[in-house]
Amino acid sequence: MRDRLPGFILIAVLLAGWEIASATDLVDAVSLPRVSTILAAFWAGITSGALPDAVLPSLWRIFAGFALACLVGIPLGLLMGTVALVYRLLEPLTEFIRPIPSAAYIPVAILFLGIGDEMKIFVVFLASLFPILLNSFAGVRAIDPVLLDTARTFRTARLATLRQIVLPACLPSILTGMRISVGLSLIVAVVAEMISGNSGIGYFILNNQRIFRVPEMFAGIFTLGLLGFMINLAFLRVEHHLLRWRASTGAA
Amino acid sequence: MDGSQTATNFAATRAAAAARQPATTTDAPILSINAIDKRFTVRGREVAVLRDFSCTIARNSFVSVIGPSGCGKSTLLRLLAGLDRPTAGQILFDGAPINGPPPGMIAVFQQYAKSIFPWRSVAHNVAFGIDPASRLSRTEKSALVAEHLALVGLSDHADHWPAQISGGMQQRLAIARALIRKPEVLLMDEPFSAVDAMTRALLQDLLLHIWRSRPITIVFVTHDVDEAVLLSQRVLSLGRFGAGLREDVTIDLPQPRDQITTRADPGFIALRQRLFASIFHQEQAS
Ligand SMILES: Nc1ncnc2c1ncn2[C@@H]1O[C@H](COP(=O)(O)OP(=O)(O)OP(=O)(O)O)[C@@H](O)[C@H]1O
Ligand SMILES: [Mg+2]
Repeated sequence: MRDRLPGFILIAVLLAGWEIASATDLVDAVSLPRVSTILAAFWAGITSGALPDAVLPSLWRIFAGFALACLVGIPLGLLMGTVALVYRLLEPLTEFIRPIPSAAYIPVAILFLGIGDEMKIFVVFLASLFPILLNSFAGVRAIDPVLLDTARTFRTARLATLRQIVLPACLPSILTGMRISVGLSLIVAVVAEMISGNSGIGYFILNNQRIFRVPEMFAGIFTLGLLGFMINLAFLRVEHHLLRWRASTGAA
Repeated sequence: MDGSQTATNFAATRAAAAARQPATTTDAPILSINAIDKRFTVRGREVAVLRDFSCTIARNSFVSVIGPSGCGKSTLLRLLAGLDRPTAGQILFDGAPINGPPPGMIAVFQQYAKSIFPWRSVAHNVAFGIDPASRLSRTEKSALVAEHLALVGLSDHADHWPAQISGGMQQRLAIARALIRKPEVLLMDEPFSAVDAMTRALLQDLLLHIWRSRPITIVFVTHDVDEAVLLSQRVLSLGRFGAGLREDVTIDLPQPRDQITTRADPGFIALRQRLFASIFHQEQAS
């Protein structure tokens, strides 16, 4: 936390600059309200319940889509890495779908799933799937053959090898994929909410812009930043715990 | 690294081992390698690492395989371990052909550090070796783990991560994990080549102690002539790549052996000198 201090100081300096620029009419205070006005709107949004009401549906969509992506992506990635047939079957397909920006699926998803939660969860799922799938796959491929020979000489059963050796050996790589996906899922959820529907933080931001409640709009953006920051922090904590064996110092 | 308290129960086991030995020589060999070939295809060309290779290994013996780098020592060990199949011929373990890693046999790999599970603590790594078929209770398992950690002198590091212990300790960890399985045959591929000289000497004595204290056949790959003579009852010397078995030398030095007495034994010096000279001359000639 201590080495983060310079970064936080920079943020405070930028916010102060913004406040001054807006207060002295250096910039158009209607389009770029003062930081203090935005913070007041943020606080009002929290106390009135408008912001939590906007954030919770988004969080649910992100969580559901992301969890589904893990549930499908990790086993499929491990399978692609261990069974040659599965790899040959899925590799061309994934290589074709992967480069398509996830936002491009939204119109298609609306056609099939409507504009409700299902569509948004599906789009989040699709966007999160590929980083998780491909990193799980890459993790299996990078396993040292000596580890697998060790499993064989100890006559470890297939399932036990998968659970006790392949999975933990791939964990760093799987977690990397998951972290990329968390970021993507936040983006895609917000875009989907802006395109359609009437709930979620994406809708909150767009709607406040439409009705010229600019401080509230900024409060929504600020909330997103905070959300992303906190999700990432929580993720790092979990990752640090799961990969604690990597640290070569400190107590076990 | 052995506490002095182990020295006393040593004497008893040593006597048992001595009593065992005459019987073993008449036993059927635990391993018979029958006319095996091993060829690899490298960039479309087939190369033969082993050609019509045969030999037998007596039960509870300690056999070393030496030879220059690339001559096929690891290849031979992988075939014995059932990790690879010979291109022709077969290997019998207790009379049965080896198809895949058989029960009762554990290989310790040349890259031992990579064979340790970094996400498991030292104790938990050792526990991995316990035979799942043994159906031990939790307390029995932890007692067994404690016993094997003590055997290799890692009791104080039971809760460490592998990344937190030294290379020599990792090697002892790999040995403990193999022994806890109670294998009849232990295959070791240059296990001590990556540690410093003093650690190596300590590990050699540890291995001699282990071999004396239980019925176990050890096939030990090394490229160090002294190490082979010090440890084994028999040394198989392989020639350069594809040359096959060059020498099969019986090392009849007295047991029990250790760093100090055995290395000072005139018999040791003569044997290692003869073997070294023979290998050296072959190398010069080729
Ligand atoms: N999977 C493989 N494919 C092709 N060639 C191989 C393979 N494994 C081994 N070889 C070749 O077989 C020969 C013997 O290799 P091996 O690893 O058995 O040597 P070694 O005696 O153990 O050497 P070192 O002392 O360096 O460990 C080498 O020339 C090597 O290139
Ligand atoms: Mg080798």
